[in-house]
Amino acid sequence: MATATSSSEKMLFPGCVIQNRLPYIEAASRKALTKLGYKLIDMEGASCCPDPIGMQGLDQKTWLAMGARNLTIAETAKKSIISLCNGCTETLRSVNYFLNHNLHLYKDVNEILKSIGKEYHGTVDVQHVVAAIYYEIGPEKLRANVQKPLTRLKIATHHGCHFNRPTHIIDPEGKLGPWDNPTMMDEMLDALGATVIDYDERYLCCGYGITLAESGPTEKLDAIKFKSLIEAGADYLCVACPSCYLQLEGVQRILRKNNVIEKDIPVLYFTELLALALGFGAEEIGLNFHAVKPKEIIDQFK
Amino acid sequence: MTTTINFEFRNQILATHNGTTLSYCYQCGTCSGGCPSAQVTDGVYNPRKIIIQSLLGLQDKLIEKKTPNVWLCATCQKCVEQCPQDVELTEVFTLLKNMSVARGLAPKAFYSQGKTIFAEGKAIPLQAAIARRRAQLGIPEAVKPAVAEVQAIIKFTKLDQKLETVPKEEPVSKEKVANKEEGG
Repeated sequence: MATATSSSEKMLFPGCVIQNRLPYIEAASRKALTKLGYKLIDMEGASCCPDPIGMQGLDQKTWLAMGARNLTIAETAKKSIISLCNGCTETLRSVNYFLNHNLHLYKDVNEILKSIGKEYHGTVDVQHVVAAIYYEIGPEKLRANVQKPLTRLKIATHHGCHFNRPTHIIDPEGKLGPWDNPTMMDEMLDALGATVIDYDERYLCCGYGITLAESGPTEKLDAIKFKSLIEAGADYLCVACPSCYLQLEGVQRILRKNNVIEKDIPVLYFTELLALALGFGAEEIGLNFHAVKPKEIIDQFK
Repeated sequence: MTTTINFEFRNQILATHNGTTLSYCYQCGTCSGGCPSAQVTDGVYNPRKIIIQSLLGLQDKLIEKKTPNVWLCATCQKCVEQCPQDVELTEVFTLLKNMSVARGLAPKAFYSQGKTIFAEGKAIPLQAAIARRRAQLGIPEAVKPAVAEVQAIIKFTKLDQKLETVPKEEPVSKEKVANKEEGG
């Protein structure tokens, strides 16, 4: 079995949505990561990251201070963080970026943290789980560790906007690929034996960020996305973010009702597919809890 | 219709760390051309227009009248990546949003999220059914957030007071009306 590198002991930041609404994604992630050689440590006392759209929209300084407080937990433990959510990754990396580039903000935030007896230093690295697996294990080692290949599954990917954007914050070294063309999940799914489907609208935003204000524009965006997916012949959509997951799974009921699409495209989170390929059963990782059920996958990976 | 220029508003944006790139804008419109939200609102949502109105200090249009409605930004960051002048558009939008919140002019969902985070430390609190499902899936109990510390931070920045300005009725934007007329 592939073993993650010397830094394989990580703090896990599952985020509100996965921890408290989609625990099956956390289960698949924990199981797959552990099998790959990671040792995961919980972040005691961690709060909402907080939401880069919601809380940042309310008050940017509160957003930075709460994010910095979460980072201090990992700073104290001297461990880097693996995050399961594009939004949480963006928040925590943004805190590092803003506070390390702006002395005023650094001082302001530390003054806030002082009131709760904490201090932010900026010493902790935060990686999205997909990026961590790609960097530290890589497609070739994954290929060597496949127990049940994802054969015959036609899967398209949606990395999600905040997976690598804004690039100067999320990906300053340019390791995640071009800003409009990350392909990490495609490369790894190919290594796991899947038939990876390319489609025109692979980088179109899921629109989740608009739904806090209005739902109309988002449904139009998703209609464009799903038409493109179906035209390209995809049967499944693999995502890296729980917000994209909820949006792209939830919107299908509306799109079907409005006759925009005629078939379901079950949405799966990357580590769910990874866990299946590493030998875990569909039931073990809770695939039956999906709203749009991947029935054939559940049968194929009993 | 009269247009009021609010210099104080304009200067406030330009003086803030995330507004400093605003003056680089030469209005080429690359942002609006690539914007997914503009695409599905027939250009009613228009990032280029938000930037010029910020630069001109048109507070009433941006904050009160919501034309264009900055809350329709999906935060996909495409405009930030594509801008030839490196204007950090979404940072300017964040500032406009923060200014709206204290005036009770943000969408209701934002206030509710803020209140939930204040009360529970999480945007989505743990429910008993999910706690049982976690056990069923064989994963550890959910980490409990340090709610008192979260509350101390939110009180320090006085966000708790701003959250009390939540509007009774959802403010109606022109875009919303336009969308309804189109039947979408």
